[in-house]
Amino acid sequence: MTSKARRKLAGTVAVALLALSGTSAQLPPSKGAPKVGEKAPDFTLPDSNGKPVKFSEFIAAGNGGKGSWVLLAFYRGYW
Amino acid sequence: MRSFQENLDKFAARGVRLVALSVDTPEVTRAHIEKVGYTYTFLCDPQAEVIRRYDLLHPRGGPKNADIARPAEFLLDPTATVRWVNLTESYKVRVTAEDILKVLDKLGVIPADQKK
Repeated sequence: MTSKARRKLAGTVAVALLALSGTSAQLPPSKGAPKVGEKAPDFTLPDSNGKPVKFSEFIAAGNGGKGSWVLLAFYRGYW
Repeated sequence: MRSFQENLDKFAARGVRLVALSVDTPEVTRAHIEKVGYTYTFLCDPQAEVIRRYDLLHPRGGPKNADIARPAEFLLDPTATVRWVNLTESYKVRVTAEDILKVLDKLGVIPADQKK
């Protein structure tokens, strides 16, 4: 096999493996994500300084303790 | 996310606070947001526990097949009730701050000085 043919075969195999591997750029359906009208599940996670933040308390503490609207944005990370 | 930072004052004028969440650790997150100058709240979910609870896991969607969150935005009112959800079909279609400010206007969440 010529090196050109070998490269082409390698490329074809790589694409096939990728298609079969299940790794995809396609996003999952996320059917179980909270919907309009539902309560957002509460949780506690560290912030970027490592300080634990309880989400329900974060919301309630906003707006001088009256509670605030929150935009909660999930992102992929791995900047 | 840059558009969120650039419009932070417009969100603040409506009493809306921003929270971003990903699998990045606090160390990785802090290093990056300090570099790019993001000042809103970032929460860190390295085990993807919350991401899973919200059904937003993208298995093997990250570098080296890492499990990550798919992009999603939720507007929550002060009772933590979901009032708007954005689940994009593709990474290429990203919501902007302007889009969300328009949604807020429609929901009646407008700057205090515009309220009658």
